[in-house]
Amino acid sequence: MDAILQIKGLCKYFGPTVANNHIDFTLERGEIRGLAGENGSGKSTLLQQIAGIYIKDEGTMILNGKEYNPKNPVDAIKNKIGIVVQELGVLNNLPAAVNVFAGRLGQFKKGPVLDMKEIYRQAEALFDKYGLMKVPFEKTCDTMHIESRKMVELARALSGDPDILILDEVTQSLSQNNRNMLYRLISQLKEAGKTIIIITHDLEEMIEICDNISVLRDGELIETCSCDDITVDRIKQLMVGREISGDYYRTDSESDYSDEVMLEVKNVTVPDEVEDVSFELHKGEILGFCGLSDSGIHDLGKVLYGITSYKNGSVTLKQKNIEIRSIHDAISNGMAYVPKDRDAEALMMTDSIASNFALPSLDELQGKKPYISPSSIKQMAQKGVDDYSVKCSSIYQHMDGLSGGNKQKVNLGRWLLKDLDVIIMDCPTRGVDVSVKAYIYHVMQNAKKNGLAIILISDELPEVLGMSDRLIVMKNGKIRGTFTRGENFTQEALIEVMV
Amino acid sequence: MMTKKVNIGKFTPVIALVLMLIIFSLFTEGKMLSPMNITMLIDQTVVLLIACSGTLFVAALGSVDLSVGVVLALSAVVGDVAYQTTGSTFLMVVVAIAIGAGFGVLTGFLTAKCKMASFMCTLAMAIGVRGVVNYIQSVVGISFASPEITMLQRNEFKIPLLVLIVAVCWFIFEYTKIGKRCQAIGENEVVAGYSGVPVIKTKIFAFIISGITAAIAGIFTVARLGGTSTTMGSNFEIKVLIGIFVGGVLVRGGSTARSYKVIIGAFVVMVIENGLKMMGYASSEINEAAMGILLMVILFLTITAENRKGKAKKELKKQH
Amino acid sequence: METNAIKKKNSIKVIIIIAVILAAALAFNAAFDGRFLSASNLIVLTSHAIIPTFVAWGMCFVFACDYTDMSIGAVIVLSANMAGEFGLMFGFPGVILGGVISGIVLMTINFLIFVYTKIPSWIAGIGMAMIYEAVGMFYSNAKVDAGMTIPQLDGDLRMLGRAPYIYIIFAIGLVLAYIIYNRTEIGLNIRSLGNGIKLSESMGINTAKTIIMVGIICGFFVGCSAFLNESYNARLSIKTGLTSLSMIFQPMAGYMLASVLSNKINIMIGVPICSLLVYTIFNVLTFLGVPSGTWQEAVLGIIVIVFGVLAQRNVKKVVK
Repeated sequence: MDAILQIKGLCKYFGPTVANNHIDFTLERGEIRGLAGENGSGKSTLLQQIAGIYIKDEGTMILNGKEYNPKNPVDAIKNKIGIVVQELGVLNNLPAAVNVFAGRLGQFKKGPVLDMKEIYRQAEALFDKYGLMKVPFEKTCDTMHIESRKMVELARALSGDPDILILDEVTQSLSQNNRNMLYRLISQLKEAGKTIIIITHDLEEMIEICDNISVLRDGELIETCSCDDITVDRIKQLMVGREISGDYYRTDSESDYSDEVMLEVKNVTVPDEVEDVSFELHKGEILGFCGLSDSGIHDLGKVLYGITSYKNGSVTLKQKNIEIRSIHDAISNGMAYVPKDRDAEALMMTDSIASNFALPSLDELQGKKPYISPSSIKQMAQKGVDDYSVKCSSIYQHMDGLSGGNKQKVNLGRWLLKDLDVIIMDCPTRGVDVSVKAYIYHVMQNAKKNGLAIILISDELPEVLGMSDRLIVMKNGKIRGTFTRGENFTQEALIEVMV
Repeated sequence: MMTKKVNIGKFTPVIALVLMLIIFSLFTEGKMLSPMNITMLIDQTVVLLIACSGTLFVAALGSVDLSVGVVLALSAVVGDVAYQTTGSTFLMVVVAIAIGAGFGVLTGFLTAKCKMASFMCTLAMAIGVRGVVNYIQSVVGISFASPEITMLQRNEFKIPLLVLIVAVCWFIFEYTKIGKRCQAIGENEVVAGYSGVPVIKTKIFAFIISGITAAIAGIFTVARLGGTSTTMGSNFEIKVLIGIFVGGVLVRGGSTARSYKVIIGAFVVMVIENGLKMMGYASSEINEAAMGILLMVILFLTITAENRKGKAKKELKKQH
Repeated sequence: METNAIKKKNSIKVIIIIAVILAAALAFNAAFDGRFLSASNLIVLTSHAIIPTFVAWGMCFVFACDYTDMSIGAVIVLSANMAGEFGLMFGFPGVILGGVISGIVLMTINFLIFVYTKIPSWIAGIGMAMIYEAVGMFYSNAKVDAGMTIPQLDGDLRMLGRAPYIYIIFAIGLVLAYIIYNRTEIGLNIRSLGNGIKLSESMGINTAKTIIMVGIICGFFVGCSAFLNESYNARLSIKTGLTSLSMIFQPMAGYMLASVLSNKINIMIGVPICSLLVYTIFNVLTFLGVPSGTWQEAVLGIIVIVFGVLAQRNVKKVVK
């Protein structure tokens, strides 16, 4: 066998989290390798180090028998490694063709000036060569559809004629046509002796395409196995690290909630985000939402909480008969929202734990008095830290000194300390380790017992299946199916309507 | 270890103030600390202190109000016109404060709702309004303040009023939800909004407070000068800005904005200005150079310290 | 089909706007006995518009990567005086090189400071403006002490500020600005920074180097504006007390309007048109007898705010 890339003892740290822990990874020439792992297992981090986007902290990489230390993505392209990154995006204010060659425009110099025609011509040739869906090369990217932008990124990755092509969650934003195009492209590259690494949430797709699959968990590479003799279940088991059952999720297998309707959503439409969505949320119910990345589940969360305004339809808190039109409507009537992006949308990172606990409750803390007493904030924060066992040196410690799991405990705790009717959780276990995950599920079940109505939006199917009473699957902003716990509540059934 | 660090951070502005006093007293052979100069120092600081206490709300947002100087001038000048035409001191005060509040509403609306950068918006106002002030002043000519207003210059009125105004600002900022909301917006506007802070309302409110204190500062300036002038409040916004940053408030605002910091900061600015004068450097270019360099150095030090702290935290975590 | 209809509608709109402006100009011309559109006034108009146009071109690069520089006014003052100083020594080459080189040097210093101190550029720019203004004062005082005044160009040395030379320089500037912004690696790299430093870095662009290049390019255009200013006006007096900030407002208004129109017309071509429009407003005000220093300043402030709000129309991100 002929190894094109050998990685030994690779480590990468982000603050307190060990994203990659001594990873040994060998890639054979001409192989198609899949990387599987839950969110936060470190697979994207691994690939981005190979592509020079992150610089490794420890370990060695050997490419074609030579030490390989990319300092930036251009180094990687020069070494014939191309990558399409999941959530990076394009230079919106520049033409598509410029995006394809950005960072390496020097090669088009004609004297001091760039030969723009040549840039457009070469971009076109590149799209032709690999059979990519054509985009208007002279138009700026902000005018383009997401699928066209993905094509630009793909062309960018292919522009260095890569020996190793890395595709991180490319398929999920593509339509079936373009997916087929991508499959053709992959087999075309394989025939040409190129090596490909793929990340996709769709494990069946992965087994179909790949030769071998490596599974990562908590930053470590657990196992690499051949696709000839592996099943989806086995991969999942490796990903989670134990049988997917037991006390990790809910143990009851029947749905169980009161008939009392808390939140009624009727025909809500927001152009380009959600379309004609209607459902009811009951007291003590956990209502799961799942779908692919552009299915609109995350957008829906923001609509329900009044962040995004809707034109048609209504979102009504049934008990108080109040229509939610703004965050203020939502929050002053017992609603709460746990955003997906914890650091950017939920917590004040350079402020104290106490301030973070107090923030959503400022109205209650002040009440009818003309002032907020510092001791009431202190009491509240202390209670929050105790109730949700946040590990910290004091309540005046700044948030950015906490680990991901403890941050998330503050994030949930600051809401659950309040007197709530409805809480919307968008990926509440994103980027936390297994023990905190189990703790969060435990907290959710307690809240459910106390009659809180919970909307659980998640990218992880096992999680929504494990926790929900009912489950709504969305695609392209529309509801595609509703499932009830105990009746055909399986991953297969969900995927059928999801994709 | 942790608590010790926090305490040092808290006392930095105090240390800076004491250090400045010592240095300048050494250079001026103690003249700096003479009772007469101290009285003058406090007298000069009054106006700045009032404006700083109010502008703190804007600084907490991570925004900036560069129109403090012209709002001060405009409310003084228009208030003066009101007094000259009606003879009512009460009306003058009301008109001045109304103008301050009005500009607060306008700036708040333009920055919060129309998303104009606050420095750009308030700078445009500073230039535009200065034109208006010049016009009014050219029409009115020399005028004398009402006797009631000049009474503000007497210590038995001035000091209690100063303490009252600063205390009110302190109270609102440190002990009510308004102050906490301003800080939250400075920390992260998206987070604040999602956590129930009415972002636009709070921002407008912060600019209103800043406008009102600028107007009050205008009234006190009239009391000190005994009338109005075209140069009123010129460069005043820069002094306010430096006062806030010298106190240890970071440009990003948020939890770094604290009342005690701006009070000390205001004194530091005046000590430097006064000290340079005592040392015989009274010229405007030396003053401007000193303030400019001070601004740059203070910003550089606070920002570098903040970045270091962030890095140190990361290193610490790595070892775990 | 539909897009064609919209396009047609848009082009009709553009034609209507142009027609209205032309009609207004003609009507105004008639009202002032043809003085408004007389050859001499047209030369005044265009020359006056060309000087801020160069600054606005420089600003395009600065704003393209999400920076601001408030010290440009002070840089122009210093560079113009250097143009004068060297012009008196070496003739035309001295005028050009003196202005351009000092523009480049000072702007590069600014951007080095922005990059390496990490101080937000808007406030660092104000600090640098104070320092440059003070330097200007020291320079002019030194001149006075030596029994001289700040340089004054005379006669033939002012040629560059007159027709046809000023138009030739303008044409060269337009070609350069357009090509650098649209057709060079550095221009495209600078614009890519507007999408965020992180994204540009992951595309393999050396961001620190690119930002410093912004200083050099902007400095070049600012330097050109400075020597044209010196040539046109013979001398440029030193500004103090941050009055130099008001010098950048006219070009900024031109830039803002051009950026509003940038999806219709390339911003580098839009800038001179918009600068002309902005200057025309002031020319009209002068014709109407509105005095400068008072109401004209007020109008300038309002124009900047209005165009600023327009330019921010579709901005969704957090603005401080």
